Amino acid sequence: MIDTDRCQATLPAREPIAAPRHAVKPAPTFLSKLMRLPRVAGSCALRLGGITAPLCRGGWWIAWAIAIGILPVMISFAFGIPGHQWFSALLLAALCLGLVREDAWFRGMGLIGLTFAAHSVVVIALSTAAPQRTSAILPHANAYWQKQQTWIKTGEDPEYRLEAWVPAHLQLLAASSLFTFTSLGTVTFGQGFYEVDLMNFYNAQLLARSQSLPLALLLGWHVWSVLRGLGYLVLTFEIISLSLAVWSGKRLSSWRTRAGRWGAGLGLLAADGVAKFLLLDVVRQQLEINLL
Amino acid sequence: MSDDDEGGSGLMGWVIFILIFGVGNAILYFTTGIFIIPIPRR
Repeated sequence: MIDTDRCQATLPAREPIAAPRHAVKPAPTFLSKLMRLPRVAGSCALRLGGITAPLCRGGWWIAWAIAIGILPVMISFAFGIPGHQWFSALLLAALCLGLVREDAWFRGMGLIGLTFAAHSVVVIALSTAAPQRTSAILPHANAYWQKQQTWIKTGEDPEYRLEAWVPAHLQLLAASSLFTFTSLGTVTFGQGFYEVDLMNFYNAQLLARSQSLPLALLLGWHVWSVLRGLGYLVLTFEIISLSLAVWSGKRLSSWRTRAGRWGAGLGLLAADGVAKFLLLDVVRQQLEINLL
Repeated sequence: MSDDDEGGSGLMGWVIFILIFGVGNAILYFTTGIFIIPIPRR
């Protein structure tokens, strides 16, 4: 057996290795500075989330959701200028950062859902009361209503054919995921308000030309469109969270939670396709019968 | 959670934030988004 105490006693004391005096830290290259920029931007996004997070504590997210959903569109309507969809999108994305930062997915999805719901109620009301003035602040809404009217009356719409909507929906999913990631949700919310408003204006016109208003509203906001909206609601929250985690380098949620959100979101999008495949003609026939 | 680990504070940080998430996304949307985001399907 080796006597370690004796060995240590006979060995000379180890001197610390000093760094050479002439060694200096290498100056950061242009490339290394460039590589740090996304992390700097991500840290600022996280700080913005830190500013907006307290605004959504308690029940305040409900008040904010209603305000973001209705105030920009009402101001836009009052002045007759479009742009409310992107303004609402910016505000919603900023508030979502706070909830994503805290991984408060229940409040986050509530905030997004209630904002869109409040917005839809106001846009349907304005489109019913003053269709001309409202269509001026809803891009392409009138043309969309004309297309829908043709579909209800004839059953003909090339966009509803299986070979058309399957690739289009896959493309929408890819594009939405990409833009949610790069813009922390802003582009997806902007596009979402735009598409929801097409449906809202169409529903308002349908209400004005239907016998039963509850039936028109129930069927006009197609069940597959609602499922798709809910699917994108879940996926958008998840991708904002993933994006903020990547940009900032912070762990914001567990993989188990992320997997659950991806599963729920993609499941709802699949349900959109199934519902559309099964119910398309039934819904159209009921809408046609209900017309004045 | 510390947000300043990567120099996220300061005016320059916010300028970079606006350039990447604001200007960058606007350019991406108007050059690519209008082509790859399909027209709304019902």
